[in-house]
Amino acid sequence: MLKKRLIGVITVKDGLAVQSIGYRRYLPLGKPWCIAENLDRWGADEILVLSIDRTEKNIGPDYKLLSSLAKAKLTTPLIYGGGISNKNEANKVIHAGADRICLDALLHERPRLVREIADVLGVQAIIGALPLSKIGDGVQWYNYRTKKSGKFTDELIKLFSDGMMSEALIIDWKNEGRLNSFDDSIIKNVPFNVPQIVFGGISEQSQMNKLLACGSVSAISVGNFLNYKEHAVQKIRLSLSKQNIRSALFESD
Amino acid sequence: MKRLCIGIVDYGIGNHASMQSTLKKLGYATKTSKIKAELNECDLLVLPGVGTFREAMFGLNEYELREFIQVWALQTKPIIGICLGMQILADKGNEGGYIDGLGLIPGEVTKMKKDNRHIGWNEIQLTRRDLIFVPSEDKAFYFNHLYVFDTDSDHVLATSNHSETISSIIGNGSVIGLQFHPEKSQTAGLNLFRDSINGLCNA
Amino acid sequence: MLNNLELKYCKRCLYSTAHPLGLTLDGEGVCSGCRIHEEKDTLDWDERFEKLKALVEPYKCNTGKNYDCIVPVSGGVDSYFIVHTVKNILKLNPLLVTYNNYWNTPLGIKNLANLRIKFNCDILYQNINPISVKKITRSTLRRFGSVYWHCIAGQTVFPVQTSITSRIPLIIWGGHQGIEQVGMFSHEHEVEMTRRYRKDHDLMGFEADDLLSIFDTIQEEDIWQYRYPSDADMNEVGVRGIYLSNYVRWDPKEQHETMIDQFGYRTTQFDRTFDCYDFVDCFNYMNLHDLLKLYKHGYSKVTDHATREIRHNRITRNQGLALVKKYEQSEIKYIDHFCNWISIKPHSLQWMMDAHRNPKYWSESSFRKWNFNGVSKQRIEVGSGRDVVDPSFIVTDDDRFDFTITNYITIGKGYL
Repeated sequence: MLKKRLIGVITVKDGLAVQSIGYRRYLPLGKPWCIAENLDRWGADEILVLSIDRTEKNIGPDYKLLSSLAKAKLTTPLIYGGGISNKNEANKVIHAGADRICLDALLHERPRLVREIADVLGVQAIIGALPLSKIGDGVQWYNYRTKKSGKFTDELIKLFSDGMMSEALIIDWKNEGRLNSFDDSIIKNVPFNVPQIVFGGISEQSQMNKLLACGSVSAISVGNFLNYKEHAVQKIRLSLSKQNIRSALFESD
Repeated sequence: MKRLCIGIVDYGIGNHASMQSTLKKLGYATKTSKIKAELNECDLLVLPGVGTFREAMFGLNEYELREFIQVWALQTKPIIGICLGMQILADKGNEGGYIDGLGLIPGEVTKMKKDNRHIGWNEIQLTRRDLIFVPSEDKAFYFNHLYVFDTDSDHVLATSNHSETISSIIGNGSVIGLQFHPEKSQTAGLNLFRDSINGLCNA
Repeated sequence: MLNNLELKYCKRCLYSTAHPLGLTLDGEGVCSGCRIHEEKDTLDWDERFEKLKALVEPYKCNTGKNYDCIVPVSGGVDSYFIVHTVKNILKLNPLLVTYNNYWNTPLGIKNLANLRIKFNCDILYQNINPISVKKITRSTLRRFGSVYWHCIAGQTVFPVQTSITSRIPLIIWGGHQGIEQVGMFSHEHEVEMTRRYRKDHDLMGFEADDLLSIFDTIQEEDIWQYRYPSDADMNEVGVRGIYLSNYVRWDPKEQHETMIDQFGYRTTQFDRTFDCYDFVDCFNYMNLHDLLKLYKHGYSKVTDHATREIRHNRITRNQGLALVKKYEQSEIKYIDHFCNWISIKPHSLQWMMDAHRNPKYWSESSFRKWNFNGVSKQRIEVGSGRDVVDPSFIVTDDDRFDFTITNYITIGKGYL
């Protein structure tokens, strides 16, 4: 039976892996490839690398980062997001070692190009990132570049409803980096039906149990908190042993 | 014994870097190429797969590799198609209109019913006791696809349970198709990949 | 270097964004290290110590047949304070473990002997064969300009291996370098020892097996001793490494001075820094190793010490810069000892070292004459850098190390 997933997230800024707190505070962590290699050994279901300053600086995807990740010889699926603005770049990112891509800015600025990328890579390779927060009765998406929230446009809703992306990465951006704080009301207010990967402030067993029980949730992502203790991924798996996820793996060599 | 050389067919799309690094990790020599003369020197061909049926066949036709691969199979030389690379082994793919595949394993590729996706880790159950795959029975592998390969049971070696039964491993002579990504399925994937390559090359 | 941008500097301390561990600046230009340091004055350390007591309680061995924990020690750095806290305050029964880095000073040997005697502890020594250690050192010097790889690899893995072989799960470390220098974690994250941190930062991205290469003479028999245990073994024993600095307001100068006073820890002066407490046990740390740091990173240990003292409000930033300028270009000592030990001629050593000078900070003006444009030179906004103060460190052994030593003491007879 298909399992739900536990995804390890690596946030990268200026080529450095960082802890990201509330989309505004950053603490240095180390070399992204070292952290990815570690998540690979621990048995994360996927590794999501988000290069958060590429679009803002208009410098395209971080191929140097992807090259260092390729040298780490990962055997875990790699998702890359950051600076992808057209189908050539999307293709190049896959050639360089990613298995799936994550899009944010492009969804809002040039949705037509998202469709072009889907034609080339296939929808299964594309995830749409949605930093969300509850505003009034509904949710709004957060533009991390302008630092403003906005309502879902019809075009954005159509992009998801037409199935142009296989999954949505729902990010509780306000609670990112804060223990035990993911606001699960945001996933209930998303105006389209696409499998959801949840992220932002998810640290406790009780939160994960509740989220995994939701039909719309296909995966849980954890970032900062995976860096505090040895075998963090395995410890989460052991605490969720009753759930439909893969069991903990401790490499013996 | 000389190290086996695996040819990764470059038809414009695909996760070459991942494939190369996994094969090197397993101790094989690799060559990623669209040039027939270079691929000809290899012991086994891998058709990688991230993309669409249409793009893949377009690339194969553009680089004149379609016939090359078909002749390779006729000579009973080994081929492993992975994910999209497995799907293009079919007679046809239906992606908003029919497109011809390589026709190396009879069958058709269509979208999963009810717009479902098969993304994540799932176990495989063998439908035939093929010695190459017995060690991998019931192990979980990483799948990432929306389309499935419809073929008769003679060509199905393993299935996986989802909203419908998925053909996870198919085969026809020296040609094998893996719907999942062995290069991205950690230890289970490495072992199965090695067993497949060695099994096909020693046959 | 990870950062793709030009260097940026912290408004409070002497660090730049080119720090090898990584450093971030916030909207006010204050670095992550300074921000996390603020927690030393805002957290309730009594409460945190209670947390520590509760954490270690289940590890106490009530049968008396095994130790409660492992404490990695040396003849320098924070060993005295850690053992004192573990034994006298937490009332645990530790097994001390120490890795022999070969370049032991007489002072270091005396400190280590005094440590085990004064605190009445059992101690395990690990000594790797000299041929392997020399091969490894020659290789790490050539490939990444480091002579200290074997020391750090040994110091960080021997306690973990011992934890597994002796089935003592808890390892207690002192300060977490990533937190203390660059604010890698909040103290409240209660970060523990991980294999990833060791590979990424302690070992500069190279674990033992990564040293094996067809271009080198190192064989598996040279490096297997430095391998980290498997995840399966770690999990089976339940190995766990904690850092006292997450639960105790960490202040090395103050801690050392208490240890000098109460337990007779011995200290000396150095040519390349004003701190007299940290690396008294090694001939090469504040010499060859420190110079290589200056070559590769444009700053050296005195900057770490100055930044630490600035953050503790004992000196100003300008005074810190003055101290850095005073010490950082001093000549290094004991090169002949090192060359004899590793069988390299001094000019060959210099040639190997020069290959690792970072062009961002060094330019060759004429044959083998180098101009320095490192971090201290670029901090003109800080001030004149001429206000040299005496940061008041206590020196117990003014004669430094024994100048009559012609070879390193590998194993010393420790007595008082």
